[in-house]
Amino acid sequence: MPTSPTDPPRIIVAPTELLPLLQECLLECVHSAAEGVEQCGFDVEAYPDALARLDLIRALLDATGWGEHGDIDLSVHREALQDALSERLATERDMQASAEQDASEGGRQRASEYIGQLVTFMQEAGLVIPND
Amino acid sequence: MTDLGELLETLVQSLLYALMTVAVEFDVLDMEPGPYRVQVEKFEAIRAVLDAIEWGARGEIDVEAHRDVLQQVLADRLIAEHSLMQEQSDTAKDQREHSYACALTIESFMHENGLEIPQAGA
Repeated sequence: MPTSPTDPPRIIVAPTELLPLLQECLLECVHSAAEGVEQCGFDVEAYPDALARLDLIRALLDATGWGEHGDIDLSVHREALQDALSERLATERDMQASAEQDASEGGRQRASEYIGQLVTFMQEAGLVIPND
Repeated sequence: MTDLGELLETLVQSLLYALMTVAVEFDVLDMEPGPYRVQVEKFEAIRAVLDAIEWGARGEIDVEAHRDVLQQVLADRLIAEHSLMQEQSDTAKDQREHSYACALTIESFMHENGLEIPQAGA
Protein backbone atom coordinates (compact mmCIF):
# COMPACT_ATOMS: atom_id res chain seq x y z
CA MET A 1 0.00 0.00 0.00
CA PRO A 2 1.45 3.46 -0.85
CA THR A 3 2.30 5.62 2.11
CA SER A 4 1.09 9.17 2.46
CA PRO A 5 3.44 12.00 3.48
CA THR A 6 1.83 11.98 6.94
CA ASP A 7 2.41 8.27 7.56
CA PRO A 8 4.89 7.59 10.36
CA PRO A 9 8.26 6.25 9.19
CA ARG A 10 8.89 2.52 9.02
CA ILE A 11 12.48 2.84 10.22
CA ILE A 12 13.36 5.35 12.88
CA VAL A 13 16.91 6.17 13.89
CA ALA A 14 17.36 7.41 17.44
CA PRO A 15 19.94 10.20 17.56
CA THR A 16 23.24 9.36 19.25
CA GLU A 17 22.55 11.66 22.20
CA LEU A 18 19.33 9.74 22.91
CA LEU A 19 20.97 6.30 22.94
CA PRO A 20 21.89 6.20 26.66
CA LEU A 21 18.34 7.16 27.63
CA LEU A 22 16.86 4.72 25.11
CA GLN A 23 19.05 1.93 26.47
CA GLU A 24 17.93 2.71 30.02
CA CYS A 25 14.29 2.71 28.92
CA LEU A 26 14.67 -0.72 27.36
CA LEU A 27 16.49 -2.20 30.35
CA GLU A 28 13.90 -0.74 32.72
CA CYS A 29 11.23 -2.34 30.58
CA VAL A 30 12.97 -5.73 30.86
CA HIS A 31 13.04 -5.25 34.63
CA SER A 32 9.38 -4.39 34.68
CA ALA A 33 8.53 -7.37 32.43
CA ALA A 34 10.51 -9.60 34.82
CA GLU A 35 8.45 -8.25 37.73
CA GLY A 36 5.37 -9.27 35.76
CA VAL A 37 6.77 -12.78 35.48
CA GLU A 38 7.53 -12.89 39.19
CA GLN A 39 3.92 -11.99 39.96
CA CYS A 40 2.69 -15.05 38.02
CA GLY A 41 3.87 -17.21 40.90
CA PHE A 42 2.90 -20.85 40.50
CA ASP A 43 -0.04 -20.08 38.20
CA VAL A 44 0.99 -21.57 34.88
CA GLU A 45 -1.98 -19.97 33.12
CA ALA A 46 -0.74 -16.49 34.00
CA TYR A 47 2.61 -16.82 32.25
CA PRO A 48 1.82 -16.37 28.52
CA ASP A 49 1.00 -12.63 28.77
CA ALA A 50 3.96 -11.85 31.01
CA LEU A 51 6.34 -13.79 28.78
CA ALA A 52 4.95 -12.19 25.63
CA ARG A 53 5.86 -8.77 27.03
CA LEU A 54 9.37 -9.96 27.82
CA ASP A 55 9.71 -11.42 24.31
CA LEU A 56 8.73 -8.12 22.68
CA ILE A 57 11.24 -6.09 24.63
CA ARG A 58 13.96 -8.73 24.20
CA ALA A 59 13.45 -8.62 20.42
CA LEU A 60 13.83 -4.83 20.41
CA LEU A 61 16.97 -5.05 22.54
CA ASP A 62 18.47 -7.60 20.16
CA ALA A 63 17.54 -5.43 17.19
CA THR A 64 19.38 -2.44 18.67
CA GLY A 65 22.42 -4.44 19.81
CA TRP A 66 21.20 -3.99 23.37
CA GLY A 67 21.11 -0.24 22.98
CA GLU A 68 24.32 0.16 20.97
CA HIS A 69 22.55 1.70 18.01
CA GLY A 70 19.21 3.32 17.42
CA ASP A 71 17.94 1.91 14.11
CA ILE A 72 14.49 0.56 14.85
CA ASP A 73 12.08 -1.06 12.42
CA LEU A 74 8.74 0.20 13.66
CA SER A 75 6.81 -2.34 11.63
CA VAL A 76 8.31 -4.97 13.96
CA HIS A 77 9.05 -3.15 17.21
CA ARG A 78 6.43 -0.42 17.52
CA GLU A 79 4.62 -2.02 20.45
CA ALA A 80 7.79 -2.62 22.47
CA LEU A 81 9.10 0.88 21.79
CA GLN A 82 5.75 2.42 22.72
CA ASP A 83 5.72 0.39 25.93
CA ALA A 84 9.29 1.25 26.94
CA LEU A 85 9.11 4.98 26.18
CA SER A 86 5.64 5.47 27.68
CA GLU A 87 6.76 3.83 30.90
CA ARG A 88 9.82 6.08 31.19
CA LEU A 89 7.82 9.17 30.24
CA ALA A 90 5.41 8.45 33.07
CA THR A 91 8.36 8.02 35.45
CA GLU A 92 9.96 11.29 34.38
CA ARG A 93 6.67 13.14 34.76
CA ASP A 94 6.41 11.80 38.31
CA MET A 95 10.01 12.83 38.97
CA GLN A 96 9.31 16.29 37.62
CA ALA A 97 6.26 16.67 39.85
CA SER A 98 8.10 15.57 42.98
CA ALA A 99 11.11 17.76 42.13
CA GLU A 100 8.75 20.73 41.88
CA GLN A 101 7.21 19.82 45.20
CA ASP A 102 10.64 19.51 46.82
CA ALA A 103 11.88 22.67 45.09
CA SER A 104 14.72 20.67 43.55
CA GLU A 105 15.72 22.75 40.55
CA GLY A 106 18.35 20.23 39.36
CA GLY A 107 15.88 17.34 39.50
CA ARG A 108 13.20 19.35 37.75
CA GLN A 109 15.56 20.38 34.96
CA ARG A 110 16.82 16.85 34.43
CA ALA A 111 13.30 15.44 34.27
CA SER A 112 12.21 18.22 31.89
CA GLU A 113 15.14 17.49 29.63
CA TYR A 114 14.34 13.77 29.51
CA ILE A 115 10.66 14.44 28.93
CA GLY A 116 11.57 16.73 26.02
CA GLN A 117 13.85 14.10 24.47
CA LEU A 118 11.29 11.34 24.88
CA VAL A 119 8.37 13.34 23.52
CA THR A 120 10.36 14.56 20.52
CA PHE A 121 11.48 11.05 19.63
CA MET A 122 8.00 9.60 20.15
CA GLN A 123 6.54 12.27 17.89
CA GLU A 124 9.11 11.52 15.19
CA ALA A 125 8.31 7.83 15.44
CA GLY A 126 4.57 8.43 15.28
CA LEU A 127 4.03 6.87 18.70
CA VAL A 128 1.15 7.75 20.98
CA ILE A 129 2.17 10.23 23.65
CA PRO A 130 0.23 9.36 26.79
CA ASN A 131 -1.62 12.18 28.52
CA ASP A 132 0.11 13.86 31.42
CA MET B 1 13.29 -39.05 25.80
CA THR B 2 13.09 -39.76 29.52
CA ASP B 3 9.82 -40.38 31.28
CA LEU B 4 9.35 -37.94 34.15
CA GLY B 5 6.75 -40.02 35.95
CA GLU B 6 6.02 -38.74 39.45
CA LEU B 7 8.65 -36.04 39.11
CA LEU B 8 6.63 -33.98 36.64
CA GLU B 9 4.68 -31.87 39.13
CA THR B 10 7.73 -31.27 41.31
CA LEU B 11 9.78 -30.33 38.26
CA VAL B 12 7.19 -27.80 37.05
CA GLN B 13 7.04 -26.19 40.51
CA SER B 14 10.82 -26.13 40.73
CA LEU B 15 11.15 -24.51 37.31
CA LEU B 16 8.51 -21.88 38.14
CA TYR B 17 10.33 -21.14 41.39
CA ALA B 18 13.59 -20.81 39.45
CA LEU B 19 11.92 -18.41 36.98
CA MET B 20 10.65 -16.27 39.84
CA THR B 21 14.09 -16.29 41.46
CA VAL B 22 15.74 -15.11 38.26
CA ALA B 23 13.05 -12.43 37.92
CA VAL B 24 13.69 -11.17 41.47
CA GLU B 25 17.45 -11.01 40.83
CA PHE B 26 16.86 -8.21 38.31
CA ASP B 27 16.27 -5.98 41.34
CA VAL B 28 19.93 -6.05 42.32
CA LEU B 29 21.54 -5.86 38.87
CA ASP B 30 23.49 -2.87 37.64
CA MET B 31 21.52 -1.15 34.90
CA GLU B 32 23.95 -2.34 32.21
CA PRO B 33 23.32 -4.45 29.12
CA GLY B 34 25.85 -7.18 30.11
CA PRO B 35 24.28 -8.29 33.40
CA TYR B 36 20.78 -7.92 31.97
CA ARG B 37 21.67 -10.04 28.98
CA VAL B 38 23.09 -12.81 31.19
CA GLN B 39 19.98 -12.71 33.34
CA VAL B 40 17.64 -12.89 30.34
CA GLU B 41 19.61 -15.88 29.04
CA LYS B 42 19.23 -17.65 32.41
CA PHE B 43 15.57 -16.92 32.22
CA GLU B 44 15.26 -18.32 28.72
CA ALA B 45 17.13 -21.52 29.58
CA ILE B 46 14.61 -22.26 32.33
CA ARG B 47 11.75 -21.34 30.10
CA ALA B 48 13.06 -23.70 27.39
CA VAL B 49 12.66 -26.60 29.81
CA LEU B 50 9.13 -25.51 30.64
CA ASP B 51 8.36 -25.27 26.94
CA ALA B 52 9.85 -28.74 26.38
CA ILE B 53 7.50 -30.28 28.94
CA GLU B 54 4.67 -28.04 27.73
CA TRP B 55 4.42 -26.39 31.12
CA GLY B 56 3.44 -29.65 32.75
CA ALA B 57 1.28 -31.15 30.01
CA ARG B 58 4.01 -33.47 28.72
CA GLY B 59 5.57 -36.09 30.96
CA GLU B 60 8.88 -36.68 29.20
CA ILE B 61 12.03 -34.71 28.55
CA ASP B 62 15.29 -34.82 26.61
CA VAL B 63 17.65 -34.75 29.60
CA GLU B 64 20.76 -34.11 27.50
CA ALA B 65 19.25 -31.02 25.88
CA HIS B 66 18.43 -29.48 29.27
CA ARG B 67 20.99 -31.08 31.58
CA ASP B 68 22.37 -27.87 33.09
CA VAL B 69 18.99 -26.44 34.06
CA LEU B 70 17.74 -29.78 35.34
CA GLN B 71 20.87 -30.18 37.45
CA GLN B 72 20.46 -26.74 38.96
CA VAL B 73 16.74 -26.71 39.70
CA LEU B 74 16.57 -30.29 40.97
CA ALA B 75 19.63 -29.85 43.18
CA ASP B 76 18.18 -26.64 44.61
CA ARG B 77 14.85 -28.32 45.23
CA LEU B 78 16.48 -31.33 46.85
CA ILE B 79 18.42 -29.10 49.23
CA ALA B 80 15.19 -27.33 50.13
CA GLU B 81 13.42 -30.64 50.76
CA HIS B 82 16.31 -31.90 52.89
CA SER B 83 16.03 -28.76 54.95
CA LEU B 84 12.27 -29.22 55.42
CA MET B 85 12.88 -32.81 56.50
CA GLN B 86 14.92 -31.51 59.45
CA GLU B 87 11.94 -29.67 60.89
CA GLN B 88 11.34 -31.53 64.16
CA SER B 89 8.06 -30.15 65.47
CA ASP B 90 5.06 -32.48 65.72
CA THR B 91 3.00 -30.22 63.48
CA ALA B 92 5.57 -30.61 60.70
CA LYS B 93 5.09 -34.39 60.48
CA ASP B 94 3.09 -34.23 57.25
CA GLN B 95 5.61 -31.81 55.79
CA ARG B 96 8.50 -34.13 56.71
CA GLU B 97 6.78 -37.08 55.07
CA HIS B 98 5.96 -35.07 51.96
CA SER B 99 9.53 -33.79 51.73
CA TYR B 100 10.92 -37.27 52.20
CA ALA B 101 8.80 -38.64 49.34
CA CYS B 102 9.65 -35.66 47.16
CA ALA B 103 13.37 -35.98 47.87
CA LEU B 104 13.25 -39.69 47.05
CA THR B 105 11.61 -39.01 43.67
CA ILE B 106 14.15 -36.31 42.84
CA GLU B 107 17.13 -38.42 43.92
CA SER B 108 15.91 -41.40 41.88
CA PHE B 109 15.56 -39.29 38.76
CA MET B 110 18.92 -37.61 39.26
CA HIS B 111 20.65 -40.94 39.88
CA GLU B 112 19.06 -42.61 36.84
CA ASN B 113 20.02 -39.73 34.59
CA GLY B 114 23.55 -39.13 35.75
CA LEU B 115 22.85 -35.87 37.52
CA GLU B 116 24.94 -34.95 40.54
CA ILE B 117 23.05 -35.40 43.79
CA PRO B 118 24.02 -32.75 46.36
CA GLN B 119 24.93 -33.98 49.81
CA ALA B 120 22.31 -33.56 52.52
CA GLY B 121 23.08 -30.37 54.42
CA ALA B 122 24.84 -28.81 51.40
